[in-house]
Amino acid sequence: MEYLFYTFSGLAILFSLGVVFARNPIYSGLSLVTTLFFVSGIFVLLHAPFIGVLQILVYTGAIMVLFLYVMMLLNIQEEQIVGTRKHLMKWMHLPLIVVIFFIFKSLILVPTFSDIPVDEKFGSVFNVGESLLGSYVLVFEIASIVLLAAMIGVVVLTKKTQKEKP
Amino acid sequence: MPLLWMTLLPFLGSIALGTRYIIAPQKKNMLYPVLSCLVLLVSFVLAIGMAFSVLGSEEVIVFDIGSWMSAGTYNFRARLYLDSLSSILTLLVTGIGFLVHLYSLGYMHEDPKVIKYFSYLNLFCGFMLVLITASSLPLLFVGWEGVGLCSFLLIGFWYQDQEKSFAGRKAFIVNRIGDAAFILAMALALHAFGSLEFSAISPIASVTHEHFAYHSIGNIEWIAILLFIGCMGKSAQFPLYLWLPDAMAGPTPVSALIHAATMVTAGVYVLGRCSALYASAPMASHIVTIVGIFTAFFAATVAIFQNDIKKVLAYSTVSQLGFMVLAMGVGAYAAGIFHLVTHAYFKGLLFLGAGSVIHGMHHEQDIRRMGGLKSRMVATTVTFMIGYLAIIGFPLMSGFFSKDHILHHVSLTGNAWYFIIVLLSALLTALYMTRLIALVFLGSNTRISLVKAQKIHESPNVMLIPLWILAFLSIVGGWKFFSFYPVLEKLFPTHAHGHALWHMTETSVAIISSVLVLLVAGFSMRYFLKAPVVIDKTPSSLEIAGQRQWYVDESLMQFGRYAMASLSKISNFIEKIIVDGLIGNIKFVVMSFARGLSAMVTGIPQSYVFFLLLGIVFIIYFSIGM
Amino acid sequence: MIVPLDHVLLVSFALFLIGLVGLFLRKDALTIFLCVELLLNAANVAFVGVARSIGDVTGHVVVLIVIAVAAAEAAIGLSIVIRLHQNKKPLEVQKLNELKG
Repeated sequence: MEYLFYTFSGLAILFSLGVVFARNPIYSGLSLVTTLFFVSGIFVLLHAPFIGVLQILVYTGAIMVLFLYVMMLLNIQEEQIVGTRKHLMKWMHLPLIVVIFFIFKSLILVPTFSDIPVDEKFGSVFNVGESLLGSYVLVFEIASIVLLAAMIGVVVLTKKTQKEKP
Repeated sequence: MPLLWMTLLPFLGSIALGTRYIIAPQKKNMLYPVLSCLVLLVSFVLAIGMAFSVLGSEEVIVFDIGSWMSAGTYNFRARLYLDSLSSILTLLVTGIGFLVHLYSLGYMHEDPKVIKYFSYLNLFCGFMLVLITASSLPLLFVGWEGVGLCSFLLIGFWYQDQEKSFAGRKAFIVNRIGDAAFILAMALALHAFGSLEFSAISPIASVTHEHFAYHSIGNIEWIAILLFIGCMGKSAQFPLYLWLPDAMAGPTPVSALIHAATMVTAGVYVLGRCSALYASAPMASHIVTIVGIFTAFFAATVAIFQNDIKKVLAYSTVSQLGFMVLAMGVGAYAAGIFHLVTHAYFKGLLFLGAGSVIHGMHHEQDIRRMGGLKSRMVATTVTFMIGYLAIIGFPLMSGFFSKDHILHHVSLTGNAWYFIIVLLSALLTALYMTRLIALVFLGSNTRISLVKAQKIHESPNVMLIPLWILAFLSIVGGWKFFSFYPVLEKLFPTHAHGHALWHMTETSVAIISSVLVLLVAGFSMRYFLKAPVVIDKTPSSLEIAGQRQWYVDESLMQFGRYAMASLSKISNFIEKIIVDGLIGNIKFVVMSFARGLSAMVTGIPQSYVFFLLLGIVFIIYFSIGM
Repeated sequence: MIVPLDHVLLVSFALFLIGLVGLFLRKDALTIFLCVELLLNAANVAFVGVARSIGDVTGHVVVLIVIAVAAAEAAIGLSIVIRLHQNKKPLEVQKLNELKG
């Protein structure tokens, strides 16, 4: 079954490249949707079915849709964006990335834990829900407050001011 | 126990009177001053009692009060100690103190604050006794400061007059300079000897006439010099004598007690107490001698030109203190202390007599306006004349003996200049004292204003009795039974000097000096009786200079002002350049740093992310410890 | 586990790296946002992999919270972008540097 994993991951990486290098922002958005799709597949393969489904429902189904709506509303034309920029900042990040890569390499060399065998109920809705609403209920509540704040923020931000009333 | 009571009683008296004064400052009740006199009488009796067992013998009386302070390895005990030297001085302080108290009953009778006055007077005697009976330098210093305080309080007793209060302040401040040196000396001595008890620093052994072996101690010269500077402040040596003439602003009995008989002699007492120290510090002793000689001569020259009766006596005191100090310097410790005692007799007498004159002349103090008092104030005249004869060294008076001893020891040093200047100072003493009595008591009374002339009266008995007693002592103070000199001689180690100057013996010195003194006295008597004294003539420049102590006081004040001005200029400069500069620089540094940092905020999110990543990389790097 | 943990982490790292590169490379605000979402997802992958490896469901809880926060952040970011567009401001990040200095 490993090949399934490698396929999914390879395609995910491919389409993420598409996110970065696509000219049209709509194409970027669509590439990201696909990437998320394959990532969701990876989740399922890693014994996280609840997260996998949730990813599609929430991330892809809501957040990306929102993105695409906005992009369509703003009607961004292709001419408005130029693919890459031409100044110094562009190249400054490369050495940084190299450094990060080397750090990561040494992380991989760290001996990993031996895998603990898990039963089928691992990662199921019941299991995750037990943990989420049990030991981590405080975090859960705080996350909901974050969402509430975001809602209020959005409402405030998009309110029309006096000057703009048509 | 008697030692403790003798010292403690004056304090109790002072507290009692002070409380009474605070409770009811307006009401005057002569019972309390009389009480304070009795206190001192009791102390005197106790002193006599203890003197019987202590004088002339090896015996000492010790009273240990308790542990006072301890710091680290040093432990100071407060202990009272009475040996022959202290005993003599306690007799002096309590005796003359009692006489002055008695005298003050008459002199300060009309003053509304008389209770406060006597409270201070008792306090002074208490502190003086502490000073004398202290067994260690710190306790002595307590007494030292205490008498300085009382001197300030008493000089400025009539503080409503600003000049008088300034005089008190000046006394305290000049004294303080000496005190600073005293403290330094104590610190050095503690370091060198490990203890500040006199038995460790300067044991005075009557039996052994050897010197204490100090050869292993390093800073002895410095200790001796600093200690002497302290004595200079108290005993009014040049240049720290400035306060004494100004101190005449206080009541005359105060001048008699404090500035003639007791406080100013505290410095000489310290020199005597530490005689073993000075005997082993030749350079310091040399300095002591020179300062003493200079002071004696200088003050005598100034005294000639003074017109205030008390100022003449004040400069005379400074001069006589110079005599005592120079005696200590040349190693004649016994002679110096002995002169201290006789000087207390006749100078106390002279001051009290002057007080009587002032009282009788209704507070006239200018001698140019006096004259011919011998017929109007007989008792005062007679006693004053006795004091005069004593101070000039008339043969067989007490002053003759003490001065003679000093001269003899100066001649023993072999230094011709010393001897000549000291002899000259003695002759000048004769000169100015003769001038004084010629203008005040002898001659005609035509210079006195008519108004005052009618009211001249002799002083009441309560003031005359002390005069008579002191006169008696001035006469017999050098005689066999009454003289303390043999006791003192046994006390201090004498050391053999070189050949006497011009091979003079003690007798020949005595004869020469007496003859010269009498000649000077005679000539000046004739001169001053004959010379016209015009009060309002403009004085010659010499006289002005002489009156203003050859401008010493003024030049020192100017110097002081100049020093303060430069000091403040320096601080101003430091403040401007350093403080402001420093703060300005710090501001510049901080501002440039802030500007540098704010350059990182570009407004472009990519750069933010860049720095974010940079930070994270560093954190990971350092937390893994690669 | 289906593949060794190293490989999962490698995949996560690759996605993360690509997201970073995209973040620095693009200059319009919306695409940069998309790359940020990519970064978050890469992190999610890592979390899930490790959770599976050590047998603790806490990793899944973390992922859930991350998703929630990403949603909130996306909402607000997009509303800002809409505002900018309404005020006729350019959407290039370089020109949106009023917070400079």
